[in-house]
Amino acid sequence: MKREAPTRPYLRALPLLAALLAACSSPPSVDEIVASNLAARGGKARIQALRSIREIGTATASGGRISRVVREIKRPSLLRLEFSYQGTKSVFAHDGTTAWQVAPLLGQFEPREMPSDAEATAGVDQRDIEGPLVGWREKGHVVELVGREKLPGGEAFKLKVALKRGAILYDYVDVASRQVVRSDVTRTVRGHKVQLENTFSDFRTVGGLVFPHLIESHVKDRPQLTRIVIEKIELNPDLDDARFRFPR
Amino acid sequence: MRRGVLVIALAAAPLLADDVYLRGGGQITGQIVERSNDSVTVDVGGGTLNVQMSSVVRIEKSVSPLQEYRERARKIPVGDAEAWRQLARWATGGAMATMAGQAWSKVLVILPDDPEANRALGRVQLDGRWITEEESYRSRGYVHFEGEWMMPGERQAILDERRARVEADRQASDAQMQADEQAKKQRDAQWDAEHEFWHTAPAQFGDATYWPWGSGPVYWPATPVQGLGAGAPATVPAQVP
Repeated sequence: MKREAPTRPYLRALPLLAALLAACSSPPSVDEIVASNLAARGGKARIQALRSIREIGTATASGGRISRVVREIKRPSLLRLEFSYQGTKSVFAHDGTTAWQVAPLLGQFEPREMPSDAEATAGVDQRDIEGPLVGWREKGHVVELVGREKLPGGEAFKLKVALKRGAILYDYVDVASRQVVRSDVTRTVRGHKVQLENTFSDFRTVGGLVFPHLIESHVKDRPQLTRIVIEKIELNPDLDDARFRFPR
Repeated sequence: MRRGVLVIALAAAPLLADDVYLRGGGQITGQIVERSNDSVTVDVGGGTLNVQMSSVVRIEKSVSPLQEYRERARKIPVGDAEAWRQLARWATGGAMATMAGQAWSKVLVILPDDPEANRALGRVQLDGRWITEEESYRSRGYVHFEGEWMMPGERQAILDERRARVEADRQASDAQMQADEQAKKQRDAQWDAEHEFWHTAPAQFGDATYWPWGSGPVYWPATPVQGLGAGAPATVPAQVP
């Protein structure tokens, strides 16, 4: 009778190793990517503890045109954006239900409610102070991993983020740093669909949270670029709700 | 003597601006050049803005960046690129785009290859030469089309799409015209038929009950018809089963 050769211990571990290898080579899940992104930004708990924020910076458009921008966001869903250019200050705000603006440069000297399409263009989705990836299921968004792409700065996971309000973002999470380094979104501008590509860089830590300090935006396949350099970020400043309300 | 006093008084006066505050936080800073009970006109450096007083919350005096710019610019000696640079940086920090552009242009007149001034004016370096943003786009193959820079292929696609839309519109228009013609023929045929019926039926049936406007109507003028031309009736009879 032929004796069966004894199985060596390392051979017994082969299936386990194979399974481990397979697990390593398969792409991470959406939850893993989102969790790693939140960790890279300073942690979910710290992000969720943020009550308000004020960011001050300079926007430079094509031809060297410059403006000062101040963006304020406060829970829940309050947004105010001030845009100073050539002796004028324009304001775009959202008080949670109404989007409004006063824009002297456009000859609009009285606060005016904005129609819904303009509202979408003006980036009303910015009202979410923590960003759409934090608690995306609870917020009613849908996030899917749709691929892995090579960007100029390295490889990135491409997430499709379908916001509850209807807009669809494509967020690129850098594989190495786990920061969102690019976000594409289609907006309606003056009745036309425009695909915007926003890139984020110069990540720096402020109060334990990591923020990009350089944001560059351009329309897909167009060379003109708008660059926003963030110079100052204030966490949890006191912001009166009246700043966001439509002036009656 | 009086003129001398006036000059001294002006020189000693603070460089004040007018801050015009609007409802909702909007603001205009510049020099008021005209004011009436109804409106105020403000020079903001790149032009003037006329605002109705009903939109104004208040007007205050403040230190004028525009006047300060003009005052500092006036004092810069000819050929002093560094002084213009300092002024340009100051104007850039204050988002005074026109003033900053003017100051950076002055730097370029003195130092044409100055990288900071060139970049600030949106110029880019190509093969060691500073060129305008527009020139850089052209050199990269972009074309300017209806206020936008794009690749020729995209422009062609837009033109093709428009041409296709015009063609589709033309075809739709032709189809509509044919449909209208067809409808007119049907109406004419209908009218002919009714006319014939009206003239012959009574003779056949002995009464006028099938006359459209009479008792027991067969047709009722209730269906609006789209696309009818001027002069055509707004409604045509709809058949009642």
